[in-house]
Amino acid sequence: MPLTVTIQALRRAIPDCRVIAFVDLSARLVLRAEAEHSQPQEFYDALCLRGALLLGGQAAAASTEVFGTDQAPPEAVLLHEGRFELFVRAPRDPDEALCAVIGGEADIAAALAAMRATMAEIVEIVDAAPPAAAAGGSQDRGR
Amino acid sequence: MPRPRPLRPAGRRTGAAEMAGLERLNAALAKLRGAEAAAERTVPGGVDGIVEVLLTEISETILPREMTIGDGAGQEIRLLAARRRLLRVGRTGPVTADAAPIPAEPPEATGDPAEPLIAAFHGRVRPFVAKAAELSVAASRPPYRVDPTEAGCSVEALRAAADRGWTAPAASAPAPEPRPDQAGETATPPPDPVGTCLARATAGLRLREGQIVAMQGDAEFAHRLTGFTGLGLGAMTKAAGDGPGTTCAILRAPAPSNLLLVRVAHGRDAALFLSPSEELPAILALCRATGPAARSAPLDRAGSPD
Repeated sequence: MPLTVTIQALRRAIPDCRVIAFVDLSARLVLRAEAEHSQPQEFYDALCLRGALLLGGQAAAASTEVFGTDQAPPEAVLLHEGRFELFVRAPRDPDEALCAVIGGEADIAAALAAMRATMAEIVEIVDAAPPAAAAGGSQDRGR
Repeated sequence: MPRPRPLRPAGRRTGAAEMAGLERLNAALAKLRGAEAAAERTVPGGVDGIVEVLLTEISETILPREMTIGDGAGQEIRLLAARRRLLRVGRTGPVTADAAPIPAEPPEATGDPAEPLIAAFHGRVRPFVAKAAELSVAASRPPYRVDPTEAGCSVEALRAAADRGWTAPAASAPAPEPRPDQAGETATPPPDPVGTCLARATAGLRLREGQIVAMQGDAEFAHRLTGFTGLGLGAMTKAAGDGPGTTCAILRAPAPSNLLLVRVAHGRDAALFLSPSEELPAILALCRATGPAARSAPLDRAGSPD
């Protein structure tokens, strides 16, 4: 299943989900996105920045001391302006993550579970793809 | 915190001979006050006697001390004393091992600072003592900085108010604060998601405008959290922004750990704490309840400024 279709399916599976994005945290680049309504570049830039601040920056590095581990946190949840932003890191490539923007009343635990399952599918897709395609260069913003 | 010292009104014992003996014992214990061996005291004079003991304790307290008074039924009330003065009266609440400290804010910023303390002491502490089944008192150094210029209220002023028969002003009588599980049955208290989250945390820091004002829970975890404020907290704060209502940022620990690292901010206050992942729904529910009103607002066109 193509990555875009997988992400579309994830957005439909999560109630009140407005945006799903597959991002590169280090480059702060959206690799794929699926949105309820079209969003401008600035929206995705801000989303990537918040994901990078939590999962890819000093917060993640310093949290390893708090947790007593050498691994960065795999997930982050942000309540931001009345909606939730969820970030689930790829298990093999720590710079990649799935982001979801969902309404403030949504079931966060269920949404995170769905994102984990989708991330596992994405790993399979990337593993099955030839190297050039797996790099995922093009952006496919919400429609 | 030191083991609470039970206080019993002497009127609840029987027998004149026993009373005389107990009062001699009380006198001896009073001289040994503070020693662990003098852990239990019997106080004559009923409620007035116990209130007088508290006032005496305050009048003998020079360095800041937080006094926790338990009622033997799971409720407690806290007093902060220093320089022989009462500085603050904390809210009542259930006894917990990691109870939130007295808010680090003077009771009144303007007017006579003694008046609200007199009202709080006689309007809340005295009724609390009167209703208690078995009182206990513990004193400890407060885990937050006490402003040395905080005026507070002298013991003499508290005694004078009692002597003239202090009663709560009819229009502004301090209502008893509801227990958390009764909050919906009485007037709604101001939301304090920061304190509520900390009360449920394994370990946590309370921050005001970025400065640590209280530390609680597991000492090792609290120490780690203090280290996190050096670098990590700034990134969490920037990610969450400073929007209206409550903001929340959570990092989940990698397996097999079961911990969440959480920052909850509301107004000038913030909590940085560790909780088991099972607490996630409760934390989110609390933040939703006190979050910005625009829960169902559509996405802005450009995200938020960072």
